[in-house]
Amino acid sequence: MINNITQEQAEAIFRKHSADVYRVALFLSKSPALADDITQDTFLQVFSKYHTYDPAQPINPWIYKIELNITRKTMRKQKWHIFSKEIPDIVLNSVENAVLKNELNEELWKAINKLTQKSKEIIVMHYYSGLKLSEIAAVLGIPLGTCKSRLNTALTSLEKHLVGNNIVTANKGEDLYGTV
Amino acid sequence: MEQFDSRIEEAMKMKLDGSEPSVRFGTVWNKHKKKSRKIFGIRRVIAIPGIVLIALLALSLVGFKINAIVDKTDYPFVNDQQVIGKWQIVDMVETVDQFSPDKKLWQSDLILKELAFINEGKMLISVTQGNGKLGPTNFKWTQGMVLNKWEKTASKYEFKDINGTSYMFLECKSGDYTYFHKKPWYLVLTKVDDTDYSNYKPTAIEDKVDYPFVDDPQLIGTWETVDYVKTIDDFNTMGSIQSMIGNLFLVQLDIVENGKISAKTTEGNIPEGFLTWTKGLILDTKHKIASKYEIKEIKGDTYLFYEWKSGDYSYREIKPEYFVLKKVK
Repeated sequence: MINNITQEQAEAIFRKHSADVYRVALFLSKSPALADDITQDTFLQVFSKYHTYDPAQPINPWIYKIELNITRKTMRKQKWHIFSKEIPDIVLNSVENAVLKNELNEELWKAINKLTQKSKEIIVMHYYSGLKLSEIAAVLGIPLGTCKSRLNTALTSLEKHLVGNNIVTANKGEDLYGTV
Repeated sequence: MEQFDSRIEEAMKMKLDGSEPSVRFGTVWNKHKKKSRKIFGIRRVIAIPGIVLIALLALSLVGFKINAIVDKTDYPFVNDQQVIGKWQIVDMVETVDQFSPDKKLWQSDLILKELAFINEGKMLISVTQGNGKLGPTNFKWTQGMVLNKWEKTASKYEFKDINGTSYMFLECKSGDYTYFHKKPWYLVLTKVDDTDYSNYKPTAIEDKVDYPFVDDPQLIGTWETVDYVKTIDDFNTMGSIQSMIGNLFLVQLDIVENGKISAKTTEGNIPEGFLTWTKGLILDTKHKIASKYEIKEIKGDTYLFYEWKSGDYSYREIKPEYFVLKKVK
């Protein structure tokens, strides 16, 4: 247990993590406006609950846990806002779009966006935020076994979407255990 | 052959990495500080102790009600010829031995003035307010006790001769006894006469009740009693201690069209037909009582102030008080 957060601590945390928090929110909500709201609400809670954070543990999973809860609540409230299944290209960095010439990456991105919300959560936490499965299990509040199974399901689903591509998914089980 | 994991990672990074939030640290920090201040804001500083006090008061009142002493009052009548007659109150004392005929200990006004013990356990009383005449009461008596079924008290009496005069010492069981479990004090009475007042007919005020029906749509509805007050101005929405304890005789009025009323009381229901209404008045034609009413909007709720003309008004000519009812339907 630690004391209330100081402005310096808050600013350091915000500067280090706000972009990642925003991107995860953008991926899950598909809306830049909602992603901004989620980011703001996440840090408001991070600041107000900072005294409950255990500094012996990495801070990322703790922040993402808060963010996922807020995202789920926001998404429930804003269901009618989610029209598209993919983030509109307009919100993406134009330079990155220019770089993203690889057709396979485009296909993969589309397939990821077609996943269920639960699958997307685990994919973004694991492959984008770089959390270990044990950390994701803690963030999602589920047993590690369930977490592995959920990731496997997500990858199997991706595989189905990508039938005909030359992306090989045979090693997904191997990687699952390797990341723990 | 590309590794699937790294492809996913690469695809996500390429799509997401360039996106930046438009929200700034300063904005979030200011909101956080504002929110933190609210926790100790003036409203909460006032509201939290206020809520705690109200909760404690409610708990203690519920406690009073639960812990209220309920005396047995359904004793069979046993005659006591010595008590028949009219008795006048001369003093109130903490213990029987304290009383001295030469020196009155109770210096304040007492409400009760006289008690008349009648054959077969009936009683009449007079009070120091109003016309001071004997009138009906809920009190009954049996040998050694005065019973009040409404207040659920059984007050013992005993006689004592002092300097050749017989005095009655009657336990005075007020709220101090019922709710605070204090030992009752004693009313001291001397006998005025040995008359049996069985044939005494108290005279009651008779109001004009033959008014034509005038509609008042505002009155129609279900009203629940929330308080009982001396004057309309005495009412505040927090309610009196009495209302919180739930010791109010009138419970509900169901007022419908064409002047019809039914009511619920703690002693049972009053079916349609006994009470009627016309604009501005609630009428009891049988007993010839016309009670005025007023309807007021207070803090968004609608309240009915119903002039309560009990026996205190009809027989003792004491100014009527008011039941306060809140519109619930």
